[in-house]
Amino acid sequence: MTDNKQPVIPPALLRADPGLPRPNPTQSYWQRDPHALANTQSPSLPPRTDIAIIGSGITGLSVSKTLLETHPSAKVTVLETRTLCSGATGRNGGQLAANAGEEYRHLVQMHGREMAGRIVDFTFRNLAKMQELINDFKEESEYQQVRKLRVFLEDDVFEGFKRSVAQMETENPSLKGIYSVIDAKTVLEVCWCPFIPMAY
Amino acid sequence: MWPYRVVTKAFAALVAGYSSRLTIETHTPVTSVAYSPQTSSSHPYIVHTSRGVIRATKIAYCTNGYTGNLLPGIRGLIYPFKGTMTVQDPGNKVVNQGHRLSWGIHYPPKYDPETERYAYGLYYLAQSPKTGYFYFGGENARFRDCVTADDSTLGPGSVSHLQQALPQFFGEGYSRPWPLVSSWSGIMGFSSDGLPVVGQLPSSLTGRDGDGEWIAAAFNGYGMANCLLSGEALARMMVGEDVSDWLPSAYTIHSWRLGDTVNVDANPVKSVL
Repeated sequence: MTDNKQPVIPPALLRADPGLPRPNPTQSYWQRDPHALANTQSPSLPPRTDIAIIGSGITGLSVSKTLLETHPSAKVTVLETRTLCSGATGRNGGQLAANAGEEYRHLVQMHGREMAGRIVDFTFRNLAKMQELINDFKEESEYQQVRKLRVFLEDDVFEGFKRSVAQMETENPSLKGIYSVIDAKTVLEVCWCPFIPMAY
Repeated sequence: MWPYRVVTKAFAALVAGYSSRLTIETHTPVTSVAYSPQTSSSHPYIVHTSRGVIRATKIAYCTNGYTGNLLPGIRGLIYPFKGTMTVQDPGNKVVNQGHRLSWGIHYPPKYDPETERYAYGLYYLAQSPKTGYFYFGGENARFRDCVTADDSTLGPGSVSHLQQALPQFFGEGYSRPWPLVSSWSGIMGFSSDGLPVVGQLPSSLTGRDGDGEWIAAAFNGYGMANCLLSGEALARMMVGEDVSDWLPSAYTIHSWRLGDTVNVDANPVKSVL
C-alpha cells in the first residue's frame, strides 16, 4: 500500500504554532469581487455574547446558521481575523466532492466496517445538504452538476481504487451506482483527453 | 461551484433574518482565551481580540488549519496544509466540457530525496462552462513549504509545476504554459489520523477548566463533504442535543486520537487533497 521509502513529515512542523491568518494573503480568484459584508463589523466590539464562533468559513457559517435557526434566543458573534470567508472555503478548487470511494477500504481497516459505512454515509449526506444550500443561491454560485472523472495514471492505484469501491458497494448496497468504472479508451471518447502519464 | 459566494450570501441572509442576535466581526483576530467563572458565571469565557474583550458562555473553534494557534494542546493532532490553485486559460486548444465534467487525477505519491519534494498523489481539475478556464490544483512541494499556515506566499515552484502539468494532461507537449489567469495559496486543516475533529474540548486540550469550548475543524481537504453537517452537529451538541446516531463517533475527540504518531502514513497521502 505504501512505499517503504515514505518520508515522515518532521514532527516539529506538525507541532508548530500555525500563527494567525496572515495579513495580505494571496488573492483567490473566487474572492476577486469581495462580498458587501467582507469587512463588516459592529461599531465597537459587543461586550458579551452567548456563543463566540471563531472563524467565518463554511464551518462557522453552519454553526451560526444552526444555532440561529434552531435555538429560540441564543446570541451569536462570529470573530474573523481577516475578511469574511477568507480561509480555505474561499480558496478551494471549486469542486463538491467526497473521497468515499477511494477511502472506504482504508476506513474499514482503521475503524471497522460499521464506522466506515457511517462516515461514507455522512459525507454523501453532507454533499446533499450542500446542494440544498446552493439551491438557495443557485445562480450566483455557478453550480454545475457534472460527472466527476477520476483518472488514474498508474494501474496499481486504479486497482486499489476499484477494490475499495467494490468493497464499499458490497458492504453498503445503497451506495451502488455512484461510481462507474470505465477503461482508458472510454476516457478518451468521453472527454477527449489522452491523459498521458507524467514522468516525475 | 463557488463556495465563497454561497457562504457569504448565506451569512448575509442570516444577518438580515436575525439582526438582533447575530454580529459578525471581521478584522477581529482572537489572540487568547481565558476561563474566569468567578468574574461572570453566565459568561465565564474571556475572549481577547485586537479590538478588546468579549465575554462568552461558549466558544466554537471553526479555525481549521489555524486551530493550533489558540489551542497549543491540539498541535500535532491538527496542522495546517498549504495548497496551491491556478486558473489557466486553454484558449481554443481544448474543448469546453465544464458543463458536464470535472476531474480528479490520481497517481502514486512519490518523494524525491534530491529536491525534497513530495508529490501528493492528486490533482483536481474543473472547468468553467462560461469561460473555458481550468481551475487546477495539486501539490508537489517540500514539507517545509506546505506544512504551514502562510497563504501570503506561493510555495516555490508550486505554480510552475501546475502550469507544466496541466497542458500535458490534454496531450499538449509542454512548450510554453497556457496563460495564467490567477494563482493563489490557501490553508487547509489536516488531522494526524485523517478524520475531522468535532466535539467538546477536554481540559487536557484547552489547558483550562470549564466545559464550554467546542471545535469543528480539520477536514483534510474534504470540507465540502463534511463541514455543513459537522457544523450543524457541533451547534446541536453545544445546546445539549444528542447527535450520536448521525455524527460518526470516529470524528469526535477520543483519548486515542490525542497521542497519534505524527507521520505521513497516519496522514496518508491518498487522503491529501
